[in-house]
Amino acid sequence: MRKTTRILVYLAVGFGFVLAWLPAGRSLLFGSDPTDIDMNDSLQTEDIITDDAWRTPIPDLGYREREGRALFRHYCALCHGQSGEGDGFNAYNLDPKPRDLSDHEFQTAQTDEDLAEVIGGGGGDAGLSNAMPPWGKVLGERKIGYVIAYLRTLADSLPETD
Amino acid sequence: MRNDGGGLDRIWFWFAAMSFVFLVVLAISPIKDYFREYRKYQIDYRDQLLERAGTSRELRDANREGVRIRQIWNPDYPNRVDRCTSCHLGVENPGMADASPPLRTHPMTPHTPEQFASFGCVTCHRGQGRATTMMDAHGLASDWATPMLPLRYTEASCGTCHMDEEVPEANLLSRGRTLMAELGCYACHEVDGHEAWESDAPDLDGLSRKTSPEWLRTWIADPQSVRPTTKMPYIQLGQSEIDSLVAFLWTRPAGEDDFLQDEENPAGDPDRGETLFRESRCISCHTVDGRGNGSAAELSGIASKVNRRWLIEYLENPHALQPETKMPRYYFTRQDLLDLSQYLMDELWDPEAPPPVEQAFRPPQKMVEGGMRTFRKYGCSGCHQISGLTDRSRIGPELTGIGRKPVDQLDFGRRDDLPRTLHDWIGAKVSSPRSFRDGLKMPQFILEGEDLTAVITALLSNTGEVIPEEYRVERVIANYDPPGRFGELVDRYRCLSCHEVEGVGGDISTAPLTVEGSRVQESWLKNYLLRPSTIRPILTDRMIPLRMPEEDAAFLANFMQNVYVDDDIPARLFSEEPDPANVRRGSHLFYERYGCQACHMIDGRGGYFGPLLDEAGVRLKPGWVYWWVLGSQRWRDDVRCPDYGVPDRDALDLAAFISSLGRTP
Amino acid sequence: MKLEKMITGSRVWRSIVRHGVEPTNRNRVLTVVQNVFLHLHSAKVRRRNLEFSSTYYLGAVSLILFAILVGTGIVLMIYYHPSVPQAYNDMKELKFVVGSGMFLRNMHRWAAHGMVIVVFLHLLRVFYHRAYKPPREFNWVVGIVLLLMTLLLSYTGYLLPWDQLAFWAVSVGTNMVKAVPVLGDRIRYLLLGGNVVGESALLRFYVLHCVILPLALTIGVGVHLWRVRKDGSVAGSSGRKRG
Repeated sequence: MRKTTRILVYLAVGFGFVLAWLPAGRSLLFGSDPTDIDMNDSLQTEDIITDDAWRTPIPDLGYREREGRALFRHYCALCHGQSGEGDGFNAYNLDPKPRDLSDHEFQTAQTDEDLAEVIGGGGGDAGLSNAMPPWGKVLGERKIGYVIAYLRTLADSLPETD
Repeated sequence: MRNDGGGLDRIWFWFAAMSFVFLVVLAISPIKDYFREYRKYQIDYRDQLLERAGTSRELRDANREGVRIRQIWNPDYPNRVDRCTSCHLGVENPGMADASPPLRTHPMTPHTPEQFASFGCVTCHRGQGRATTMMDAHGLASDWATPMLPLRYTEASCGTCHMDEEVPEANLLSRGRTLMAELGCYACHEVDGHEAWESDAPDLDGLSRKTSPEWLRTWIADPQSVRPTTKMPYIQLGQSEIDSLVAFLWTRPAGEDDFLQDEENPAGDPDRGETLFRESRCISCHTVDGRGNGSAAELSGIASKVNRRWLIEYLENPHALQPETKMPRYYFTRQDLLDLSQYLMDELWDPEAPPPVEQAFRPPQKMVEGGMRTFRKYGCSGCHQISGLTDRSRIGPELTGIGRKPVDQLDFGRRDDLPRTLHDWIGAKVSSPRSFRDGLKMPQFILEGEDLTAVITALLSNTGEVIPEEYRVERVIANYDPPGRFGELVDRYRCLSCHEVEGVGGDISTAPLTVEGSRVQESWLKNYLLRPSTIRPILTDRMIPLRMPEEDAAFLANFMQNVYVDDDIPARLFSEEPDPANVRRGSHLFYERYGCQACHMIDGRGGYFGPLLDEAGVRLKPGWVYWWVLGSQRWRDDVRCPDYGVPDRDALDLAAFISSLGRTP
Repeated sequence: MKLEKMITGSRVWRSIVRHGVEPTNRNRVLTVVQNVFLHLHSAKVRRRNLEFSSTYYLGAVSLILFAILVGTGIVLMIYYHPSVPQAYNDMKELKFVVGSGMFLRNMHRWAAHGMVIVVFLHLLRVFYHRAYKPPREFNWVVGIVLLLMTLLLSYTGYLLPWDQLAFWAVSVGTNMVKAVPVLGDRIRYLLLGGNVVGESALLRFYVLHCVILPLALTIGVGVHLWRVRKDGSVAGSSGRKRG
């Protein structure tokens, strides 16, 4: 009997030590942490109460696209139109007409650097219409980056191929 | 001794076994230290650097990257260390833009990459900077008070230092803050820095002269169903509460006649009224069926709301009935008033409004007292002034510091469905405030999509945190009172409802008046005040003809000419008339070099957006044009006329050309 | 062999090992008598007294745990500042940055829990063996004082991480002190160095935990062991029939 007791005591102490050092053993003992939250957007994960407007998933723009949208609407949409199709109200009297920025082919053909050059330096310098003014001094490199980020969201989806 | 028996042998055996176990246990800790979580990212990062290395120097630098803790430490912030870069290794390296997280380059923002060293990561993203494991660092481990903000709310952190309503390059936050002020959150909730907030809701005295109890009942029951654009929220009152409230409002101030019978005012001519309505450009502020500027009330349905006698009185002098209104006092003749009111009463009625009951409404005293209690209970006096109730105490809890409240201090009430996070709680509080438990008083606002995200962001930005002085961007509250007679006129015509002077006033007009004297010529300004012409053809919210007497116009023009000047703007540019050679060269530059006709119209040619330049020579001062061309963003930083970087000589020629327009020599 | 002779013949060696190493009875006795640590224990004991069932080694285990606590505690002091809010940040540093820092903290923590339990079991063992009877009544009292000190050490150590748990535990504890008649408020003020649990409370608890109480406990343990030798070892009076 005394032998068994002794072994049991040693075992218990040893086991306790091992458990204490292992994080895994710890969660076995104390249960796991409730940390499995979707970090990016937990609003959309559960949908029990439907009248909560904030639960409705909205097509979110990222920070830079959002900033770009504000700038685009303020400076560009006058000619290029709200959706970038070149149909802004100020485009009526323009010749040549502003570019349709949502055109898929145009979007794929132009790199970000190309776009930045025309936006920053104006149409005249790039051999296009001088009705497109240079925005480099007003916007600066970073904000032009925002605008380009937003322009990319305006692209039409790829035409369906059979 | 060793041969004394089996008992001791066994002890030796257990001694050896336990020693072994203990050694193993001891070894676990250094092994765990060695295989820390960031190790694999750092090795991965080094591999990627080696792969991308172009020069031998880069190769050498890449090889030197060992596994170690990396951190951003800024002595300005006591006790703040961000070790996020131990895993997010590429944030400052522009070459890692195409890498996958966590090695990717941080996108360009106003403070990155230049200011990584002074801002660190936690300042904007929250979380636990000291930690070096993902769960702990992102603040997902239980009981960490400030977990990472979801990316969509990150702009909230801009608002920790930027106290202003409009924060540059944070339009979601700015929108949220503006919405909070517009919707009147500060009427019920105290928030540091917004104690001076003032409601623009109408005074409620004299409602019995203005409207009918039936209309009032429908309105209070659900304002947004009557007028969707109203800022007044849905208060979710019970029927008896509505009835008592109407009774209370009806008797303020007591003893007024109701205006149902209107014998003094003969019928007017609605056609002439319509012309007046259009000429007076009412939709520069009001909307009719949604068309118009929208800064003042929607007018469709006005005939079902107010009676004609009140309308005439109001149009004659709005300031007598609503001292705080933004509406200017027009100089209407009595016939104007009759015609205009006839037009409004005939045309703009709401078919769904309840028909007015003919007999006078005399509520019992008990109901009136109940209504007063209801009025107090729901904090109506937070927005509306009414005689007899001077205490404008805020009924909601204070919101300072709400953006950093630990989750375990939040009352989730019935909302077991919510994830236990601060932003989810705020989201639910704002979008369905009464769902938490019974007896709550917060009304229902209609906020959807990005507006809601914006308001949540604005609330999250209110951390009440103490940050080092040099990081704070204080809220500037402009304070300017136009002096003397000029001030009286400005008040009468409510110029500041649309125009901005010295940072004070509205933003309906694109033209701040601060340097108006350096900008336009006095004679033109006087004429413009008397008979405003169209400067920008595209706008709906154009300058209104106030029908002011000539002496007022002359005085205003003269005052601005002498006081609202900026010494940086040259007062005189040419000794006499501009040189024709300069005019020719300016014309060439205008059309060929800078493409100004893309926006500006001259003689019917050109774009619609910019102001018409046909009469620019009469309107603008040459010095102003010169100063403008050299950088119009100095006037207002959101001016859309781009800065071309025009050389000085070109600017002079352009000024010469534009000053020559519309002049009759 | 020559080298060995050189070493064992050197003055330094002879100043440390004054007797020979031959396994004679004389040398064994000399070893024990001349070594301060071994000398604390009797040179000769009955085999019966060394058996597990006699004492369950509870006194020895608590002594070993105390030694572990002193060792890890001193290392922890290197990383710790008793100030607000640096104290809490230091916990974070131990967890995330210091090599084996978590191991150190856990070692200290579990040894502390273990010591409280073992010391209490030790008391129970003594109680149920009626080992508190004369001539050991004085040592029983000394033992009780040691138990109290162990508890105080455990309690003062609780505040040092400066987290919510610590803060509220100490708030509750010091409020309980207030219940002492007449002097309650004064004792609480003495403990906290103020009326709230703040920076000065943290400093006081730190000094108590790291200097005053360990010193007192060490002296107490010395007296306790000395009494064990003077009054005879525990098992001898266990009341059990000698086998």
